[in-house]
Amino acid sequence: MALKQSVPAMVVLLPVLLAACGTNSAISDRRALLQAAPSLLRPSEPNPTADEIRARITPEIRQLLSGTPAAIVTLEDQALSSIIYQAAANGAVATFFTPDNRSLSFREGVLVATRGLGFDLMSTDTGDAVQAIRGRGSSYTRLYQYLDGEEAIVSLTFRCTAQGNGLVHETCQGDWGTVENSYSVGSDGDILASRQWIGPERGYLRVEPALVD
Amino acid sequence: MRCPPGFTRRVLPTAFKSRLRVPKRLFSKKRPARTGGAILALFLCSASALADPVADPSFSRYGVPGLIDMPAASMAPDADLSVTASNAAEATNVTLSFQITPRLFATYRYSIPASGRGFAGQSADLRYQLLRETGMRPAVTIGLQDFIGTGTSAAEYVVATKHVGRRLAVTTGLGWGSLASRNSFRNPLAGLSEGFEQRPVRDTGLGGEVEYDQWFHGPAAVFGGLSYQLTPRWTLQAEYSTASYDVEVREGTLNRASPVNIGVNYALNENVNLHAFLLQGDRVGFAFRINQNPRIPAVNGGLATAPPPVQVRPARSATALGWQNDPATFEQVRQDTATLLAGTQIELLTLSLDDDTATVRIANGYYGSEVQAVGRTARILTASLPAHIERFEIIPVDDGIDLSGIVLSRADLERLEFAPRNTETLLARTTFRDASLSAPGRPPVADPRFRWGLGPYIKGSYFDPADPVRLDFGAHLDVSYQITPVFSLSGSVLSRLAGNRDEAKRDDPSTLPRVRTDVFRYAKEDTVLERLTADYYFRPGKNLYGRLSAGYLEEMYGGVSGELLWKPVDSRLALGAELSAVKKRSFDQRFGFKSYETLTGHLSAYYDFDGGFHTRVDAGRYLAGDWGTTISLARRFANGWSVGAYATFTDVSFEDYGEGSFTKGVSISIPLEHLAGQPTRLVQNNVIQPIVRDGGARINVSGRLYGKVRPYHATEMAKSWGRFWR
Repeated sequence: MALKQSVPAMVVLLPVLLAACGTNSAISDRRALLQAAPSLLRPSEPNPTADEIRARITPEIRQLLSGTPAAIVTLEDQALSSIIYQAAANGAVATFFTPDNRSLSFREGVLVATRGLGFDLMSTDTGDAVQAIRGRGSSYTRLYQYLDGEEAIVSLTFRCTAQGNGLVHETCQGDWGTVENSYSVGSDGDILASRQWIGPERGYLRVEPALVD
Repeated sequence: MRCPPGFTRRVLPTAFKSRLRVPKRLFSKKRPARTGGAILALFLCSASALADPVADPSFSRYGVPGLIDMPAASMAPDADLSVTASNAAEATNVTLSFQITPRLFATYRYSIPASGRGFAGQSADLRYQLLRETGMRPAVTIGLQDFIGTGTSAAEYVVATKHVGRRLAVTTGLGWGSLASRNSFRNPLAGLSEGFEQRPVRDTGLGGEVEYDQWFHGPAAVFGGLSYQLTPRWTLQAEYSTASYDVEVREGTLNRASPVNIGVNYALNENVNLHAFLLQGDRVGFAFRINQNPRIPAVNGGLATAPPPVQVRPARSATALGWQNDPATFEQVRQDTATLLAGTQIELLTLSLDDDTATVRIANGYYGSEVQAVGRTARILTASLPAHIERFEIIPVDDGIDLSGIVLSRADLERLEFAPRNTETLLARTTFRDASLSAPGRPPVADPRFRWGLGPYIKGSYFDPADPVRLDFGAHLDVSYQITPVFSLSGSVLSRLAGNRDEAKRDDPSTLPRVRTDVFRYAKEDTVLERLTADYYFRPGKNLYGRLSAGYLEEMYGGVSGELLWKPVDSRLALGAELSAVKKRSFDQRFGFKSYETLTGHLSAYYDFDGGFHTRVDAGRYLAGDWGTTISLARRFANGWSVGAYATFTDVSFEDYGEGSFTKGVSISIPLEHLAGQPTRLVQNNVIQPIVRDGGARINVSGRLYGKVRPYHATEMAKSWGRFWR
């Protein structure tokens, strides 16, 4: 006979999706979820491509960005693009943010972490990747780490080689099969553009210059 | 595709995949959303545990991995939680199942026979996989069906399942009891002992007792079947059933035209299965299954925005300039810290600087992951505090009391932000301690002191044979007022807008004081005061936590309640004591009381075993004045999920207790972040106690200490330390 709430998981979201208001944080949480729900459940309206974003960079925005490194990134699997600009540096690692607070961190152009994409790349050991992409070094090991569904760190290990001059292809083989990254390397050794693997769920990230002179 | 350790292969229709995974507001989408009709399935590996090599989506009508009525040897993926409902031959079965460990599986079942023809029954199954399937041998599982409950379909079985190729699975088993109702033969175990030849008559009594002297006794029969996976979504099944169907035949809802059942299973997506079948060549039935796996959230790591980057100090700047003696400068630092923390939804309560150490009290009302809140606080402190501060002590606070002190080195944060394996390195270098007695400062009173919230509620009453599901819908108003940081008033009012819980008219006999069996009388009024209490929290000493509550404690009882908890910050063991003097509230749930009053209380021990299994033992005096013990066992996941069961035995005899013989139930806690991905501390707590009697009953006081304290202690935080950098 009578009991407390005993509801299958599907019903659980129901009260969340109904309206709520107030100053209690639990209630505000419900509201936050309510606002988030449409973006998860409804297909979003068409949004700009990398080219369209680049076309929108007006001289004023260019002025604002002057001195701040920026780029345009695309998540290939989801066909989502955004501008990113550098917000912090820790040693050789630069962290870039999207306007809506997702971040990507690069060690001299090589992706080392993502935050806020979901299924984030939590940490990496890029081994000798940076040197090899610049044409110095041959075979090396790379480590990618992620959170699993129970908040524990899980790792993927790859054995990689880098080949080419100017357009460098990095081929990595390991736990996940084969991953192929590619980099456009300038004469001074800087990575100008790239296509790099984030992880099993997010797939490949394309990084292109924001400003084409 | 082979998945590496720690990653699970999942079958995901593309349409499903495209729907959920990316925070869409941030990036833009080039193509319009894919149409939902994509049948092509992708094999994906997700960062989670290794699943069964061959996942069989099909559950039987009775809620266990199997064919239609016959069990198979397969197991669900570890930790899978399923709800099934079936209707066939006018009988309905609703089940709740949990894969407790990779080899151990349990089902609770509620059966409603053809309307008006007999009583609803409850039963439970337990299955253990003796052998896993390999290329050479089948999986072998031993099972107890309806081993606790009314026992009307009690059976035992040993079953083997072998896949031939990837699509065909062959199952054959040996059944006893109700699984030996057709073409049975002399029990092969009778060769071991003559005693196995006869199955003792079941002494059902009041139900709820384990009748192990029946197990594997009496005649046996061989059952079996085939399942063929036509596509990733469609599976065909045929089985030879040795179940009796006596009840259905007697009631005229089924004719035994053939011993063969055939069925088809359709996987709508990874969480919903639909099942249709033809029973005994006579009646068509339908079933569906919804499953959720606590180990597989919508988004690993959640969808919270990026944390603020660690700010690295310039080299050789770490000299104290004596400025912290300047109140204006200090106030500026405090305000900067508070503003930055507020920007990431964390509240700064106190900040104090002493030599090279900063002590910071925070309140986290936003992040479901306590570790994530601490990690973000630490990142912000690297940006807001003067360069000579080398150590951060972060003290999470709830209800005004310090829950732990987490001590981090600022240089470690700077050095490890992008270092390989930074999770384990940082954890090894982090200290957890009980900071309460030495930490300077006191949390301020909340601003505003008065808070309120208005939202919807759903309240259900289940398992009344007259109407197994009754629901109320309405609005609830929560209010709280903080007098001091540790002393507050809070309450909630419910107002029913629609529902039928007031229609219950049970009058179960009870030889005990009616402490719970008249709960339905409390559902008569539309607007009720659910709870109104004054709560005081305190820290009586090191490792000690205290609570005093007074007022209308819950819907049926009011009074005073005191609790004391001993929990060292790095201990897996906690000990607690709770004592309450309560009086029964009036049925209208306003301010009045009835005459029944009692003293109830327990001594409790909590222990966190390896592998996520938690146990709790309470011993003491229950609401009806009976003395006894409650044992609870739960599998608790680092992401906040918990699935458990409990049983209470008191000095009330099984006869006096009545239906069910003793108190038992299931509890499931679901963190809503798991389903949506957005950070939230909301957790849906569900307690399913099918039979409520007066023996072994306890009061439900809000704000119990263990649940507040444990998440911020070392053992618990270490399990989800990967979230620190998230």
